[in-house]
Amino acid sequence: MNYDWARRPDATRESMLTRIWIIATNTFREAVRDRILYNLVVFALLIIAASVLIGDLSGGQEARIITNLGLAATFIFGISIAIFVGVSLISKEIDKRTVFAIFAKPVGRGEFIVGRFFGLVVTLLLNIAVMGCGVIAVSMVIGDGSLTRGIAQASLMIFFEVTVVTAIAVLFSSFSSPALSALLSFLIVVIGHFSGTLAMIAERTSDGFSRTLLYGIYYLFPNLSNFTFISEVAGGRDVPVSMMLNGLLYAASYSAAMVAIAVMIFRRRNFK
Amino acid sequence: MKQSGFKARFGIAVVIVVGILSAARLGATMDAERTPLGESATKTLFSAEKMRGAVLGLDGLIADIYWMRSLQYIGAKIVAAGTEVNIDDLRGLEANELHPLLDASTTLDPHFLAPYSYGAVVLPAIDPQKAVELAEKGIRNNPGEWRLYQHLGFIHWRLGRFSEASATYRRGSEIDGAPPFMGLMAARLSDEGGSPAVARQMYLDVINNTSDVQIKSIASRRILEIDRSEGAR
Repeated sequence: MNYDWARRPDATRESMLTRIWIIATNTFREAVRDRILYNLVVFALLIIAASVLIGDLSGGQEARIITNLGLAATFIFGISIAIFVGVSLISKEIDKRTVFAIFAKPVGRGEFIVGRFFGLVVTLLLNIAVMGCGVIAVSMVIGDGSLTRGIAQASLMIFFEVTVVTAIAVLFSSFSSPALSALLSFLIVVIGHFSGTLAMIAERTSDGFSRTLLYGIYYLFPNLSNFTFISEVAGGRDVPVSMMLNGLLYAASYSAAMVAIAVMIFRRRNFK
Repeated sequence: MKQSGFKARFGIAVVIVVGILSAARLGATMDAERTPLGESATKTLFSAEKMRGAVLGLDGLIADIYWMRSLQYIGAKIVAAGTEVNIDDLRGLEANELHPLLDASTTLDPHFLAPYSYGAVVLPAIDPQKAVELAEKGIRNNPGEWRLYQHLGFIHWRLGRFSEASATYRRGSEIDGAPPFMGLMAARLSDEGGSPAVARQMYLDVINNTSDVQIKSIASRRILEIDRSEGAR
């Protein structure tokens, strides 16, 4: 990561937000340089191929199937980027020793973590927005365009979920190796989609300790199943506005907490 | 030096081409040698109920896969039968996996209406009881969809249960947004349930209310048969 502090003579007087902004924009540029946005080409090919091939196989359900497939691909690409790029955000800087050069500048460890997080979130926002527009375009060509609003809403919910996953990946990245961080983040995604089942099991458990433990896990782990509205949207139903607002607030709160823990750990970390 | 570089590139290109061609040839040979898995291959591998929620929210996509698989399953059975099939009695096709496939699709996405429609037209000729079960499941999951009442009424009518068919159409006609023909059919079914005119109207309604080409084709053929038998009288 090559920060351009030298061109800023008043760097020491930059506000914290400006420093975070600089790190975030550099993280975004780095993602573009690392060809992360190339997944959009794969996505485009997938959607185009599916729209051509599915016609004869779908029994008149082309728009529904393309919507399901397109949003599922958006979800999978988004989660994959959040995990695999997120876990290397911090460790890469430490391995390449560039972290020392960064902290020699007037930038705090917390600002570094927050900036890196926002940089990846912006990259994901761009990615998901482009993929969502792609699904909308194909569904308008194949269908009657009635799914447009739902697809936009479901894409936004996927972005909220991916933001939470990015925060989790950054948290693991702040103290663990990339491989272990990726594994743990993936497990959290899986558990997060089972949170409804966890609550159900907790409710049916008679043993007090197990019940408390299960409820503890239920509240501690992210409830990611509430962000997935792919099936509903493909079936022609919109995402309720209240769910979107709560999703936004949930993603903001949970991500803030995870990034704050990451900052806390990173500030105590010894790089020697 | 230059020549050795060319040789190396040529060697790599040869390995790539030969490798891909050999793999393609061997793949085809292995496909031909492999014993077909038969009926069990089409079975739903996991319980759809257990799969719900375990596929990270992609239930709808898996439901679509089961839906497309059910269309291909029946298509393959008809092609394999070779001869002209009797669309009123498809038991000879031994398409026992159609109901599990449609059931899995609608369990994963209970609001997916296409499998209910398809089941209503094709399943009565294979397993009438399963056809009724699937249509009733559709109504339980989507009580506000008048089309599902039309499907259930249609199945009852095909099974000769005219009073049940009429009652089902009447229940469907009471739903907001139901077209007038639902009420009209309810009355006609109770008066002249088994008549060719009613049969013709039933299949016409099916054609007008589906986007599935296969269902339209089956219903059109049935109308032709009714017209032919009417002409012969």
